[in-house]
Amino acid sequence: MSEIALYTRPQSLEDVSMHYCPGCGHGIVHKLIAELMDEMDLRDKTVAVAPVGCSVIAYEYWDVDCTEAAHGRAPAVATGIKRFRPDAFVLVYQGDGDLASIGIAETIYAANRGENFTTIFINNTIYGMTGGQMAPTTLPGQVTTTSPTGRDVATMGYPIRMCEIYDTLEAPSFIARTMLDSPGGIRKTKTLIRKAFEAQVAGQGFSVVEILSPCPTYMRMDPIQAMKHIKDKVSEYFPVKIFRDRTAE
Amino acid sequence: MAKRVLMTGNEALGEGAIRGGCDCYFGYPITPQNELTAYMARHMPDHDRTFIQSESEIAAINMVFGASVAGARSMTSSSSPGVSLKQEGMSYLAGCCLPALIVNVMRAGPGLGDITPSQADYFQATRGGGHGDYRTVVLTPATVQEMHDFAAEAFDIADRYRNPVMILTDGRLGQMMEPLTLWDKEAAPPAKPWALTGAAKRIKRTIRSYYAGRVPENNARIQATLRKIEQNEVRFETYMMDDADIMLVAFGTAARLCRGAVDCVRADGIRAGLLRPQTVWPFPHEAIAGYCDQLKTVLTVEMNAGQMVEDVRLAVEGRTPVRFYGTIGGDVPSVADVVEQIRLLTTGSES
Amino acid sequence: MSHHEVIFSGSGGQGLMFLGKVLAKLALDAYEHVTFFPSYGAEVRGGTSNCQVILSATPIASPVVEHASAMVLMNQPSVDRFLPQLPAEGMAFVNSSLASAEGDNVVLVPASDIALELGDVRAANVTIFGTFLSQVPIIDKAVALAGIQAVSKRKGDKAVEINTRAFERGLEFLTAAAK
Ligand SMILES: Cc1ncc(C[n+]2csc(CCOP(=O)(O)OP(=O)(O)O)c2C)c(N)n1
Ligand code: SF4
Repeated sequence: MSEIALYTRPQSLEDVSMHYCPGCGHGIVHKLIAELMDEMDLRDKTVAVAPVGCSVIAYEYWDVDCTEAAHGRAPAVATGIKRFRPDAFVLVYQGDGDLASIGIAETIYAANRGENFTTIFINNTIYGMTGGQMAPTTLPGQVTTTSPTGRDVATMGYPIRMCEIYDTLEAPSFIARTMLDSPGGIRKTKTLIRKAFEAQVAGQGFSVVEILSPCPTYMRMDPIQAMKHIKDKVSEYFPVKIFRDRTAE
Repeated sequence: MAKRVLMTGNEALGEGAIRGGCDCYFGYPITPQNELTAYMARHMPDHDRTFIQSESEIAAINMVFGASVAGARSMTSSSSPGVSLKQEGMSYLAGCCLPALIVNVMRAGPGLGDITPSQADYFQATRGGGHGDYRTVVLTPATVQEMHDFAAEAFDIADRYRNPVMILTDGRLGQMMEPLTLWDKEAAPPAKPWALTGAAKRIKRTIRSYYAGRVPENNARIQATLRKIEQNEVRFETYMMDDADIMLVAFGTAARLCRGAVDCVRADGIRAGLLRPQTVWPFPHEAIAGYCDQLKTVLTVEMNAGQMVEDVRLAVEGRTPVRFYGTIGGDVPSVADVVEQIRLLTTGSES
Repeated sequence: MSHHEVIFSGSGGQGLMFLGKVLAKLALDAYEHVTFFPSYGAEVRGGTSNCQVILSATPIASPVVEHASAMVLMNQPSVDRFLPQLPAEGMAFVNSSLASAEGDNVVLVPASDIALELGDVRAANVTIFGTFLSQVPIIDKAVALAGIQAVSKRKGDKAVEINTRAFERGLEFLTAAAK
């Protein structure tokens, strides 16, 4: 009897155990990215940029060239890489604090210039690495260590919807939001990341996928509750949809 | 004795700042100072004061600038990578002669480094850090009590000279808990006849560092203030120095370890003592120089590759050999490590 | 000698920080100098979470324990990490429900099993704390119990009751075992 491998670890994913908490979305997305690198034959030309956040050591998990960037500056770093090496496949991976708070200027300007790289944006509504502070995407009323009585929109502002902001810019080629709420959601997420990658490969300019992702630790829930919370609450505020898709053009 | 409470250094610092009259706190999360930001988030609203988690450290320091312009006692806190981002804003605070408190709970660098305690930002803190000729008053607490007291006093110093003040500490002091007695003096902010309040019924005021053609005048004014600070604000503490022929110089966490080491070697008859700067700018040059005649050696101990030792050498001016012992990259020496270094000096096996 | 250095270590959620803080707080009256030092940051995310408490009549140079007088170790990674540092005159209290350890100065307490029997496995920390104080009486036992009760109150009467019984079971554990 011969064995048929129905599932194997993607080649672009290192064979190490990840440091993420149980039920964390980062590990899932790392794997999807690695699968696509294999399927689309991107590994050899990828230069990735890791953020500062829980995924700071993403370079230990992907078997690709990868650099660190200072907190929030990944889009600027990626701009430098891509302008000098237009043939490289440039992947930027960022959390909500990194992308939408400290680095929002770099975020907007790289997108507005239509820099031809792809950003994978993990929106877990919290600052994970630093211990659960309020993020730019923290939901109204959500309790964090710096919004101890819940996010009060009157003084702390509203959660920022980044896809909607990207959508006001002319240059981006692909903008979509998706969620890790179920196996179906994970498959859908992979499809959208593929499209974003295709946009870059076709030279169409800036592409981004925002992924609503569980952080059970600081959502203060178990992993299953956290996924349910994403479907019921998080996606209510952050609608899951394709905002722009020029890959068909 | 007043009742003692147990707090982390970060929280004690926050409570000290509140008692010292802090009107506005602005900060962005970074380990190992998050407890301070969280403490301010919980307690500033109780006192009807302003807390904002800013979008970045650059925003935070500029919010501090704005609040100070308006006459507030304002502060921000961060750790090394974030304090690097604040340097531009600190230069503007100094250039515009604005009081403010900046806290650096140091961690290991360079770059992202690690969250482990470090003293590697000494040069950045004591030399100004940003562009231009300026200095920041730099207080270096060694206990949770001092974290608290220095925070309460920092605003007075900042207001007195219209100059930024920094508290330079590290992750170990920030994270550890120790008993302290709470500051009970009433904060008494001075009148600020320069603050921008709206020019109703008076001539307008301007706050600026841009003085095309007249920058030397502004610089001269800043330098005159710095000389005054050097005269009045040097702080240090000595331990077992009366008969010492070996002087340890260390600040903050390293100074605690040195004190323990002095106790150990004294038991063996080695006459070691400690001089602990509580301000590293202005630096206790004269106090150090004053001991040179009685000393065989000076040993500077730091959690970096050798930064304050340069100031110690400037103070000693070659009159006494100055040795250095340091740990780098977030390692912290043990008391035993320091003891061994002192022993090496006395057996002369050190080159 | 009025100087004690104690390490509390276990996995996150086993309530070791709680024990350390309770000890440090209750020691304020009896000791001039007290430090509590937690492990922090990324270190917490994986294996062990630990804290170190030092009580002394003289100023404490380092909040990091260099000569442990006692250790409370709640899981195997904690035993593996800290037990080798135990000085000959020190004592270790090991949660034998979840970890194994050997040595003359090692006291095995099936703390998680006792707590489970009392109705809440989370009381394992308080159980072993009782045994620890029965052998290393660095603070008064009645003060300790009152302190634990005061903190448990926030979690309701049931928690106070279970913790009280857990503490008492821990206190008596060695004498009961000897009978
Ligand atoms: C200049 C600077 N400021 C602050 C930090 C501390 N810091 C590290 S990660 C982080 C935010 C993490 O949140 P997010 O980007 O949402 O990623 P997550 O950890 O949730 O995946 C912060 C503030 C830093 N490293 N550098
Ligand atoms: S803290 Fe949250 S985002 Fe970070 S690893 Fe844990 S679950 Fe993931």
